[in-house]
Amino acid sequence: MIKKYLLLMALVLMAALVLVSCAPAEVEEPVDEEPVEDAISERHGGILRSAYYAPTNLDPAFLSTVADDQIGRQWSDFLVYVDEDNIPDQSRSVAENWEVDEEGTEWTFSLREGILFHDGKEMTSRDVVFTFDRLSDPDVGAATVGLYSNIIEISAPDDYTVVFQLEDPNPDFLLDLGDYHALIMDADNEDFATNWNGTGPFMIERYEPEDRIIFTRNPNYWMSDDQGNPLPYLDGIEIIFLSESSAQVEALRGGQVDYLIYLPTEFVPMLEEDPNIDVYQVPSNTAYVLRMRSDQPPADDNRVRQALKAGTNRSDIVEGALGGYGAAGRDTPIGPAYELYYLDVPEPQRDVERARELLAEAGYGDGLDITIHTQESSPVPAIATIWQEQMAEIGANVDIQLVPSDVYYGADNMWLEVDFGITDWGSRPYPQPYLDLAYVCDAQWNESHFCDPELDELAAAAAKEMDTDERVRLYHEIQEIFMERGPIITFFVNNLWGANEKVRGLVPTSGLGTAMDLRPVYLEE
Amino acid sequence: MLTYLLRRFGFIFLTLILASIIIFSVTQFLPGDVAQIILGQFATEVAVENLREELGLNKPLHMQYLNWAGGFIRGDWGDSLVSRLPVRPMVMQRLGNSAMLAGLALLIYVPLGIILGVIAALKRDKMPDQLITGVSMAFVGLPEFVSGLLLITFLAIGAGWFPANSSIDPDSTFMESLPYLILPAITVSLSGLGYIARMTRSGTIDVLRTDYVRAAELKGLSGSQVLIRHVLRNSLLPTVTIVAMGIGWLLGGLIVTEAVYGYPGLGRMIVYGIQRQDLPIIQAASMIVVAVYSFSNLAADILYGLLNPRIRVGK
Repeated sequence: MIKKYLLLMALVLMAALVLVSCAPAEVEEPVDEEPVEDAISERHGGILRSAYYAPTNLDPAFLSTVADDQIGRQWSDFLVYVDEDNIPDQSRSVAENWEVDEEGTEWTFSLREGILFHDGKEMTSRDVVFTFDRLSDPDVGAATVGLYSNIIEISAPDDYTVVFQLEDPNPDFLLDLGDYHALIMDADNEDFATNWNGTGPFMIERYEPEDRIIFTRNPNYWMSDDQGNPLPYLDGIEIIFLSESSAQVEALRGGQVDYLIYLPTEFVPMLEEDPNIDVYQVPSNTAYVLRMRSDQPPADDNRVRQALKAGTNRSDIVEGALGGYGAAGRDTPIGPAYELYYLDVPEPQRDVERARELLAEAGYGDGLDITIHTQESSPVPAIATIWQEQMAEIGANVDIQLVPSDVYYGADNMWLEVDFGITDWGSRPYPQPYLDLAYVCDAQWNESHFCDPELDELAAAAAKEMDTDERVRLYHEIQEIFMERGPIITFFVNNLWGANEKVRGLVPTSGLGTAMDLRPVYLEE
Repeated sequence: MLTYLLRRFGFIFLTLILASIIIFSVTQFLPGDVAQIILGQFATEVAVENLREELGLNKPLHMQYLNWAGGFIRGDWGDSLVSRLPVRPMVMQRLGNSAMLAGLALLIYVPLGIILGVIAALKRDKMPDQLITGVSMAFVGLPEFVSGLLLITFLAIGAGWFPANSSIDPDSTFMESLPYLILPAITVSLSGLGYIARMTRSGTIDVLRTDYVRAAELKGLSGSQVLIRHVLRNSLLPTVTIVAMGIGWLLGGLIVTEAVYGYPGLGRMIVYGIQRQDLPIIQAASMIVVAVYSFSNLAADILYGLLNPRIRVGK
């Protein structure tokens, strides 16, 4: 008897299944179109939906990824806001104005009055002092400890004034204060991992670490637009965490999300063809750096380094691996996005004969075998493969070893040790950090183990030079050294975004995070 | 029967212990350092060391294992290393979501597979059989990230019938989720369908050859009566086993599908856990998969015994 029922059930199931699989699915609109009530202006209202990788940390002191940065700048503010062209913008900063003394070592900031944290407390100089004390405290251990080591003291003469005393003059100090970790924190906050009481344009309503984060508009935000209407325009932001870039792109094409940051180059041609999608791009100094370890054979010999450079067709790699969405460097860490600081010389032409000669002079006339270790994430394997083919033509056999990104950059710091590698470097608002972090002799991340006293001297001078013309001259001289004997070949990639055409007010930024300012963004119905 | 069940439960318990040791050991060998990952690659050594201490990562391994396993039995599955939130409610919620997806997929591919298998068996070696066998085996071989992207491209973005992405709110009810479940369910079904169809086909062919079927035909029963009363109840036995065991397979196999569609199930949670080195999440979610696998195997054996008196154990 039981068996009969089972059989009957199976038949019913079959029928049900046929119905299920044949019925056209009704796709519901993911966001309810609520009637607009008392909209402040035409531009106000709407939820911006986005998709990106999950963040690793929300505590400002420990932000590290693009995802972390994008979230941080929604719920908090900067003392100094660095704009899309890497210039401090007073109108978007918590500091109303600032001045520096003649020696360039004492900076005084006047804060806007009446800025409120999300919990209603007024933000004062006490919070600003707390923020930068925390970011420079070695016991807290933020990534900014080194960046702010030049600060001797931070003081608050009154509620709306903050004074920074520096040891040495620092022409980039304003940009340093706009570093993505330097989100103003509430001095009374006791747990930064779970409490995000900020002054920013949006408030975190819900955060599910492997699913999504939902922001709502901060009704008390201090900024307003040209017409005097309060910013931000959006009622909220929803970022869904998707660990596959193809899933992010499909969600944009399918209309489940409106906006994507840090678009991988391989998806751009497809999105450019889509009439509903706008692609935004701007040159940046985000770089893939092919670096040669220069303290041991074979690349300790500059003839080898120059031979490998001479054998490289840089533009072919930009075309082939970056889809043309970028620029070939001049074998220096300072790219064309820096305009003034960039040494604008023609791209060195590939010279196979010269490369072979140099290799022969260095004793590798019969061929050179090298191994390049690098990360698996796109487009790095493509760069390595094209370079491998180019090197074969000059008599250098390149063996490519791919490892996952978290191994390459992992606890054993493989990227600092291998002979040859390709490392990605995020864009910085000015060139100095690259020199200080990676190319002076005792740099913390001197992955190419490069050491050149002349470069060190020039880099140290540039760091303190307050005169722009002189600074430009120093950076140009530094780039000449890189071209003549440096350990790197560089490829710069554009910052890329995709957005539904109804999203307006987006201004592409050449900055590190590629997170655009969402305060003036609105949805056109 | 009781002793048989007790023995099987005992065996499952041992399996779970063994699996917990393996899972715990494997997670220790994942590349990268948990504290470093939480704080980011730019944090100072001091901060990393403080966090290691706080998380108990400096204790001896066997102590870490005993703490974890003991907590797991008591229902304390620990807190996520990244979010500091308790793991159990999260994992159980995602398990529910995966069950919805797996359930819908089963509803699609089991009946369809049986129908196709029977048709193939009845038309053995003729065109319908070759078509069914060929096409269903092709889908078995197609990985989910390929079939998933094909379905998205044609049915979601091309035709616009389904949402291209299923990253719904994890709290959604079944009815809210349904439109978002269909494409992922079809994706999973494509790879399950072939097994069911093949198993049904060969089972049915075997039974069709038996004497009692011939006798039933000879005594004048109609073709459908023979099929339902004599053939299917015997030929579907191996299929039932495959279906029950398939529940475990499904749950593990959802990892890729859930990642392609962004569906908030157990699979996506495991991928996330691995990327973030969130050990408590990886461990809890893997244990759930092992447990479901073990119990669905047991269910398969018991079902088989119920349906087939010949192999019943004990008295």
